[in-house]
Amino acid sequence: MARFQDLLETYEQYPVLIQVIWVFVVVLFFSIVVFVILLKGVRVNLRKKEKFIYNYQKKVEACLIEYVYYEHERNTNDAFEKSFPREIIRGLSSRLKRKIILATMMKLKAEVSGEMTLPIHALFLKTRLFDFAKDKLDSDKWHIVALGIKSLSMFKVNSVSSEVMKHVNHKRVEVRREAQLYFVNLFEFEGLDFLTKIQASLSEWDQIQLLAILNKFEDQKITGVGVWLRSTNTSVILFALKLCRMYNLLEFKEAILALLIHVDKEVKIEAIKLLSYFQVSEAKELLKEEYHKLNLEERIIFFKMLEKSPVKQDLPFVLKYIQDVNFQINVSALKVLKILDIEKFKNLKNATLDQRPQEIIDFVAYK
Amino acid sequence: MSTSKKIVLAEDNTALSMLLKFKLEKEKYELFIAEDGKSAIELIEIHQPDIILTDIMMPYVSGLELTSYVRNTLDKKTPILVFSAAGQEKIVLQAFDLGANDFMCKPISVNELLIRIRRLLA
Repeated sequence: MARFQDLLETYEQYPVLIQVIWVFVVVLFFSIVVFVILLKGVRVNLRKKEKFIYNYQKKVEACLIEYVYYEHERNTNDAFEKSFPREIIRGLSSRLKRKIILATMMKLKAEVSGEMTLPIHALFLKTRLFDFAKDKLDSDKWHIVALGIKSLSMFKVNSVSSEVMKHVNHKRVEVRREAQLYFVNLFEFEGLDFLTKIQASLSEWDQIQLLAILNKFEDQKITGVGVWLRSTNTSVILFALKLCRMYNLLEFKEAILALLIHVDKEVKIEAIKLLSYFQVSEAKELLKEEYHKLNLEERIIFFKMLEKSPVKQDLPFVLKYIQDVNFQINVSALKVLKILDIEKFKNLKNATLDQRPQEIIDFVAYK
Repeated sequence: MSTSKKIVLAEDNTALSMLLKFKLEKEKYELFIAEDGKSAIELIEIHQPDIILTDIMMPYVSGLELTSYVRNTLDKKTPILVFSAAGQEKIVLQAFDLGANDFMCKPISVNELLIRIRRLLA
């Protein structure tokens, strides 16, 4: 006590600045001690939680595998619920346990296919897992909604399609993407109906993902392409053009021809490319008439189109561009001329005195 | 029925390993499970399996390295079936170049796997 009194007296003799520093040091020291204790507590809790998750995951895995295996061996699709693992049913009331159960089920679902997935689907549909996933669709948090749609898609729950449809125009791209994948995964080509409702842009990645899933389906009955080609959403038109190319949908020729005067440059270019791929002769005549309205990129694509399927009627048009200022158009025009009228091409070669055109002609001649 | 044929399964997904264990053991195969390529190599050296099932993506030693090790270092002709995920086509081709005999894309149909195992062991 006397020692403490001495310390206090010594402290009071110090100048104010030193006193403040001492107070600061003591406060800092105690704060650090408190924080260290708190951190230790948090760390211990985290380790405990980690250990619990690991153990519970193992337990769920074992229950789930046993259930799936014996249901599969029993080979009956009815009355799955009689044998639902008790451990899993009990765990559904706890949020953490439910999360682990769902993650384990999704992990297994991603690894196995065929009849073995039926008991997993039944477990999801006939327990509260389905209700929880459905409730997630009404969440205010976008990631919860996305997770809800993902699990409903994974377990093939098609009864909630109208609720999922509400999210195809969600402000977050992640939610929109999950909704799109849900429709295509569950309803195959019919699922593409969401394209008539979508207002946001379909990114290139979204389109690739959709096409990759569609590629797996054998029944390739596509119905709405005509509508999508007339969509006000440019990305939907571009996606529809991709579908036309992939599935050779030449019956939509008229709708594709109409896109040659579309206001969007990308749509116009893709339409020219597709018509060139299908070798639609009407497109050539239309583009010849509209040539002066095309920009440089569109003109180059059009000449590539002429290169692919040259006919005698193209000759007068091509002759006008054999000395075009643009190198690519120049080369394409000469290539077409070479195919259509080799004599004229040879004469041209002999008649040209300028060095640059001569080099281009030589290049085309030896190609 | 192919009795007591030994299989080494290299798969880091414990749920899938467990499911395959149930199914393959019921079909009278003797199954040895490794959670990574490194342990799989040890199991192959110890048990001399009749067939090897391996995932491509695994910790420490991948399915490709495992295939290469079996073919080049151990110089064994043991049939190897590779599990791949969608989009790993290039890696599957690499696995074939290294000496894999067959592949299956995940998600796996267990019945189809059984047929493929029987065919590889025939």
